[in-house]
Amino acid sequence: MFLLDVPRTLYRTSIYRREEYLLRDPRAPSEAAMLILMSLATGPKHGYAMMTDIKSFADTRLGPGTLYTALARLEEDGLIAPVASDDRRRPYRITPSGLTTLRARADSLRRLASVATKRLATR
Amino acid sequence: MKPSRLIGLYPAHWRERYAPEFSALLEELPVSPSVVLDVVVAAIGARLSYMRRRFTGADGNALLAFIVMVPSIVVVIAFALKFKLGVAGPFDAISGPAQGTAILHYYLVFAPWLSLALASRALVRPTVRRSGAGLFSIQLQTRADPMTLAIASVALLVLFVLMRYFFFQHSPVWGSLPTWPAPWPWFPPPWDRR
Repeated sequence: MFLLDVPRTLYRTSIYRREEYLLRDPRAPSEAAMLILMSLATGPKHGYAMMTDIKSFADTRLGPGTLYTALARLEEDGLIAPVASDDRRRPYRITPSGLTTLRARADSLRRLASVATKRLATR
Repeated sequence: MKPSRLIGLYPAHWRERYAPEFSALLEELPVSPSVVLDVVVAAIGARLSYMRRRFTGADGNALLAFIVMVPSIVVVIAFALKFKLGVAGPFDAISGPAQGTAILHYYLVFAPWLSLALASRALVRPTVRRSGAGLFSIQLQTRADPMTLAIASVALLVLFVLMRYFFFQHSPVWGSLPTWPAPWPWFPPPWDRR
């Protein structure tokens, strides 16, 4: 019914569906942000631990400025959250919203990788 | 130079939130030109992002919408003080220097419309996408930002008061809209109608 489609479409396109909105939006997590989410998927970590973890699994060294730019944005988007700590080095944890975003991005990358593998096989 | 001194390059609100943990991280890292360059570039980016957000984001729109409307709000308050409460001082202080200034008058009347447009821009974001051959879909993304909603409400209130004054108070019959070519609803200025 058309009348029911209107609120449904408004809801579907509303930014309240934050995870889907983040995937479409130009403000979607950058590569650095995705590396941080991947690092935090195994548990809370502070900045230095994230840098070493990312270096180990992605062979990429994120600079401290790049790391904190991405951290600030992820925190603002509600994808990660700080964990209370007495130490100056504050750890961060991934939020449920962050996990959803990471899963969606992983699915998307998996589909792309599958297409690339199939197309390369024909050559 | 200690790299932690580079934190001073970041905007104040960023430093308040992240300075302790960021300086702890910088102390753990070996000082190198690439680290310094990375921090400097990120600090410049943070400053630019902060400025852009201040003037173009939802808050920026709300702030701009409010600033645009301030003169109209002042005039509406002065109207209310003079004609409802009998306090003539503020109204006379405004109307004296503004006598015959048509451009100011137009501004006062159109400013709430402009404010409303700015606030609406932050509240609703329409996007048109091509969804197939010859097919387009229009999407409305909504945002219930409390500050912007408050500004839009004030703009509507100011519009209501101004329009009520211009449309009804000076029309021959209470409640009837002036018809063309009756005087423009926004002219003559209220301070010429005393």
